[in-house]
Amino acid sequence: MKKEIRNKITVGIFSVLLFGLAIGNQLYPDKEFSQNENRILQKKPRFSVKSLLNGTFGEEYESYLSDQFIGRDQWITLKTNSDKALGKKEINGVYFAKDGYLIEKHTKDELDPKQYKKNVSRIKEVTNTYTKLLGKDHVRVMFAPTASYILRDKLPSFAPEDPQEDILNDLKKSAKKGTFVDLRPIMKKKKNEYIYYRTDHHWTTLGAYYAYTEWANSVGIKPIPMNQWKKENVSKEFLGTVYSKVNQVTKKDAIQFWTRKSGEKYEVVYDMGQKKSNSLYERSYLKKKDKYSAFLDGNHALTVIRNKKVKNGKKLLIVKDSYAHSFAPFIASHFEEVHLIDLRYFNMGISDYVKQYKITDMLMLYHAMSYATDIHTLKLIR
Amino acid sequence: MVFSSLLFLFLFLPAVLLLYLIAPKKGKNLVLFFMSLIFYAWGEPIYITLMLFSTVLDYTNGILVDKFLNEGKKKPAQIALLVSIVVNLGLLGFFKYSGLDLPLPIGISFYTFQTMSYTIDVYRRKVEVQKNIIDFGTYVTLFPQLIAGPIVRYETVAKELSHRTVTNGMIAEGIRQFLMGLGKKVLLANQIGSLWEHYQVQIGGELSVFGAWIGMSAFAFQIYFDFSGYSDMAIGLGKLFGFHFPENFHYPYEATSMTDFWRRWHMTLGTWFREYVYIPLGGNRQGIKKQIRNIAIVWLLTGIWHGASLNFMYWGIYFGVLLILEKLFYGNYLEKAPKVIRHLYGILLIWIGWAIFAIEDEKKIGIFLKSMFGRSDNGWFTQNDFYQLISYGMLFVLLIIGCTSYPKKAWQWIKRKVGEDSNILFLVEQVFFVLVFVLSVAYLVDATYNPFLYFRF
Repeated sequence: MKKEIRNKITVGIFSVLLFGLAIGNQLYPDKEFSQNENRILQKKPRFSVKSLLNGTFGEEYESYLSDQFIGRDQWITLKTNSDKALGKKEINGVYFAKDGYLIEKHTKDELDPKQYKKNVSRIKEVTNTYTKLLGKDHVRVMFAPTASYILRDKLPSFAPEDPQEDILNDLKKSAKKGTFVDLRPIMKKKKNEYIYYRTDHHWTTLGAYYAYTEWANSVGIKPIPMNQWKKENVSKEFLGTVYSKVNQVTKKDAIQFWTRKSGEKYEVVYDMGQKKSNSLYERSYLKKKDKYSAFLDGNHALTVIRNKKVKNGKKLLIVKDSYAHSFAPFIASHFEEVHLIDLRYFNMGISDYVKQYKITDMLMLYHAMSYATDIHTLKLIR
Repeated sequence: MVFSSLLFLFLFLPAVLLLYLIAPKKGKNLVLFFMSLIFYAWGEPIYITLMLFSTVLDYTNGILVDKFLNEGKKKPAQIALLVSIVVNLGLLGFFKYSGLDLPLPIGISFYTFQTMSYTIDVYRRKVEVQKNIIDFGTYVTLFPQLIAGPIVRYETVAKELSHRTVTNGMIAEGIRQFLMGLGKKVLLANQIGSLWEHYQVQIGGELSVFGAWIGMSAFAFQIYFDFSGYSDMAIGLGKLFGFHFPENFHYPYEATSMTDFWRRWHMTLGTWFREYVYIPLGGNRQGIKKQIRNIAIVWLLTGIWHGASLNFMYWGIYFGVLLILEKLFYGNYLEKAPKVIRHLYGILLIWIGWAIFAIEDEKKIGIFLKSMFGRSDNGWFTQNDFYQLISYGMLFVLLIIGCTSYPKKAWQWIKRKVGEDSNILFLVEQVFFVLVFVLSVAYLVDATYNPFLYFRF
């Protein structure tokens, strides 16, 4: 008798779980976009005989179910927690590092040997060609080491070797003498300061500032000292891209905007006039998940910054990835115009652009891994 | 469709349970038949024709064999049987070994063997002919055991196809076994699988001696928990519908010899080969020479059954040779050896076998085996090995304990001590299974890594 009741209880529990979740899923409204994962979610696929027969309906339906699963973010958090409880040191390529840092893991495997070799040798070509064109001390290349290299002390014990030491050595060797700004010493020296976000793969405004002082020193400009910048804490709620990969809140990040105490006057033009602004910062993003995009409005093919307070005839071109977005506010103080080009979206040859817009100075700024794996570098020398 | 997917758990399974529940007794097999076809068609809808073809063909052949035998015409009966065997093996051969660039119909290795068992047993008069095509179709397509075994011979379920009862006890047991399998697959096999993947790409690269052992252990656990988990899910599901499928695994890594291992690993495949190849060839009743020949044939076929690439054949030969050696030379000595030695012997040879099984490229098999035996260009261990061992250490502990019979024995011991009737133990059990279910769903929702190993076979 007791056994029979128990069997009924077991059957009852799992019927409720199974049918409850099944029905819940059907009733749960679909979301278009996941802020957390920063991607468009799969919508309910439209049924057709053709899509059924070639199997795409089935495939799409399965990703639909997973993407729109009721309480998706919570399930993923649960998974991450249980992985951590099992002693996993990393999830989805993210280290659970000390002091609440989530650090993106990098290994040699990310490099495609062929592309990497090309990218290294193109640095030689770029630095030679443009130095010839623009003159000595007008061309610099700068590659930011990422947190996994600089904050190595924080990684779990025995963490595999980071490839960036070798990459930066290769790039340094390849660049024309004097054009390579090595950021390793300064970043290592400042590693105990808040120079990388804990939940995002970018450097902080402070980290970018230190890089700026290195650049300035290398071209013989006196960097504007720290005390001449007004630092504004604009958010304490930042959870960045690395967080999204593991859905695990450790410690939220703070974002600072730095502006000149002496005042500044900018005009920013995105993508040939598609969008204009008079600030280097787009505060609307601070209310969204993707807060790093507050720096220069996120990714654009072409961004032109005009500094109305400078009249020196100097025009800088930065070929860059998103590391340059929080860096640009510093360097913009020294130029009449700063042009930022993102090769992923920009479809013109760089040398044509330099000539057409009478660029006087050039800087390449990427984080080391993103340049080492970039597949768009051919545009650099076209 | 696979069991370990959200689609199966939260759409297909509820639907099929509901339909099955409301269908009148006579319509229940029709529900299973129809839903099984949908289940099968999900990934490759075109192969539904294959299912229907197999159903009609073997149904007809069964009737013909029976009819001819009843009329005392042995020759025509044999021809009908031959047609069934040739067509089934032909299908298997065409899709699996022809080298044409066709997607492999899932589970073809399993269901061709299952349907063959029917016609052969009708011919041998071991089972009655099935006159109801829906009942027969239900057997051929039955979704729980369709894709990855256990290989259910017709004989096993013949009665249950037409008369079966489902009790709450059976359902509860089915739920428990299904969840156990789901947990094995999703929480254990998938997780350790990514470690094997990590080491697999190091072969010919930075693989060290220690790394080779970690990697092969990862694979050994992945394949066991993957495959036995799938079998558990199948058996559990069967119970929900009133079927009793045979068990497929019995703690294979506790084996103390290779002969023992094959009594514990993929038991239904072993049974099939014994019933339909080994014994018909004479088994062990016609002298040692014939017996060795028979063992050799069975193991060559077992190897080939697992896949078209050559390493599977080597794998089969490897075990064939070991079994013959155990039989002829050292089996007796082995039995007298201390238990520790026998277990070490078992694990060592099983692991070497998995290296041959898991790695397709012969050159890489060589590199890997050399590394396992201490000869690697990368020394005994690398920093990465330690990192991986620390990361996966706890999981390894769970896997090692989980593949033995100790957890079950311990649970039974506790039950005896506390008393079968204890409410607390019942509660603990329910909580455990709810936890397995919830965690499995979490891992499935996250599923960045959910490949299914036994699809290839």
